[in-house]
Amino acid sequence: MSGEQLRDELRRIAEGAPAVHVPGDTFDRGRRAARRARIAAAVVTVGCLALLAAIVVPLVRTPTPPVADGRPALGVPNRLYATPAGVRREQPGATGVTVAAAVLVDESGNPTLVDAADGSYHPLDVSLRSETQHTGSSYLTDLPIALSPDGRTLAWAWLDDLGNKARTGLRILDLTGGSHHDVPLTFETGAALIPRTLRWSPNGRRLAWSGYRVKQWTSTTIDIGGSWAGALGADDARSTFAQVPEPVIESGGGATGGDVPFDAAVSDTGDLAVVSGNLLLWKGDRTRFPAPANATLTGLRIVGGAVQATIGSRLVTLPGGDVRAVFPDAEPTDLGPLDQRRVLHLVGDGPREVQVVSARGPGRPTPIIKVDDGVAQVSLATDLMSLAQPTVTRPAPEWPWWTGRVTSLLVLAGLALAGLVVALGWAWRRRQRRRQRRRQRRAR
Amino acid sequence: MPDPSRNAFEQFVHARTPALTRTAYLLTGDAHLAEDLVQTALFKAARAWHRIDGDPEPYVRRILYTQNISWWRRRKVDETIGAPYDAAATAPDADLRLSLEAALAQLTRRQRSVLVLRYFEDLTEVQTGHVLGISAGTVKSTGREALARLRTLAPHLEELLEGVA
Repeated sequence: MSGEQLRDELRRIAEGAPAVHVPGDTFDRGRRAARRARIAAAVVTVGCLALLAAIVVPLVRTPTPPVADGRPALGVPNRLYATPAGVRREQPGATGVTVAAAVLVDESGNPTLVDAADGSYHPLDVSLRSETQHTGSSYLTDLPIALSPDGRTLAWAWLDDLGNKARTGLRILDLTGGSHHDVPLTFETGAALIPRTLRWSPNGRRLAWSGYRVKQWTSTTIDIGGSWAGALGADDARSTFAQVPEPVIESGGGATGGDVPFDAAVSDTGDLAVVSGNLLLWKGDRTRFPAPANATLTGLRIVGGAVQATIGSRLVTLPGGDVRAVFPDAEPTDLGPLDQRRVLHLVGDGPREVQVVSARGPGRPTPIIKVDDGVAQVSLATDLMSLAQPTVTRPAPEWPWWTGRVTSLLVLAGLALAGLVVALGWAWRRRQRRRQRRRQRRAR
Repeated sequence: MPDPSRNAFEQFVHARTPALTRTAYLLTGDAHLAEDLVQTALFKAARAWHRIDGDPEPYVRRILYTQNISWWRRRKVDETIGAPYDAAATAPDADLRLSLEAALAQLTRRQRSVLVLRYFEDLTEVQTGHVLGISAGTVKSTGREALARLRTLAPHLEELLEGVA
């Protein structure tokens, strides 16, 4: 039989095998290792599921079901929440909002659109805070944004810092159609204009702006000078430009500069009214009106062919300066008219509120909207509000976290678990190799 | 309260450790490595003891073979560089008469494993190839090379190898 002798000889050699000591705790160590392996498998499974959830959930997440009973009632919510940091931001034309109730700007200059149909919040991927660092100096500006009174068009200003020059313009977004177009605010010489205010006409078809011309914009110097204002239709590709005198308040023989009134409004027919200091430019006339040296202008609009301005706590008709109403708040922010006799004011410090106040004399203000602390700027769709029903009640917003904070957390958790498993595996392999080297040394 | 699984394991260890040690000794050719191999195989068996259905010996033996192969693969580079076995391809000193044990030590680990599994464990070529993770054809050729090497290293063992294919 082949190999029989070899087999016998191998058996003889095997008889010389040493007696092996098997540690008494082998079974216990084995059980503990099995338990550890089960725990590790569970951890890896949970990590994988977390990663899978982070990838799949946003894909299969169903949108909010439409309201079954026809078109939902449009309205402005009676509470406006501050947008928390870290939420997912959406492209302005892809929010699905066709009519907005409000646009809110937080203290970092990021706007959020509030849907008039369901009160949902849509943080926009837009920054209205432009901070430009130049050698030895920086230039910080908050660009304006305005929602049309009917809530169907949103306009905001943008600024591109190209290093040795700046480009600016207005972007006008038709929420109903989702399309937008840009209107450059750059002079033929290439100099840019930085918009400061933006106001819609009462019918929401025209826009007025005021701002300052950039005289010099280099890597080392920014020189802003020259006041300008203009108007354009919502569908126009270009704006008119009008240079206005430097905003100063002239009273008697002296003039006061600094942070003085400078704003522009446009009528439904396209007439531009500009207030620069205490000078009104209106229908070709330049008229000085009486104003205190520390006047602040928080509202400007054209009502029935007349210019109305909110200066300090007073509603005045320009250029005469007739006081139509004295408001209880010292410096309310005018958000527009509710009707012919009433206006909407944003008042208070920290958590604020929107009030309905009479535009025809003294009256008790009626609070209608609570505005959270953290909302720096509010623009309302005033056409959706009436005295009978100024606001509607909406549920608290569900912030779009999924591809933002929650997804990031899930991905981080998954990666952390994967890293832990890899680290443990590496440590185990290293230990095994050390043991292996010890065995080899002993064997030699 | 006595644990039946622990008792069964300890009885198995007590009864089968000597036989396992013999196989491990032949596979490794070294007392220390054999001891490590048996301890490792029994530890892995303890870890999976609750899953073993029936006679645990085939399971433990399979761990023994695969663990040895695993060590062999891990040390393959070192052995290739040092080549203590393969360097012995030169003709042996005529005065040096090697025993089979010493001649086995001159083989590569794969060659020795094939010989042990085929002629000590009585596995077929297919079973051997399955355990070592190689094809049956490779088992056959490796076995042939191993025997040729033994004949070269220790011609006086020709009688021992007589009839071995």
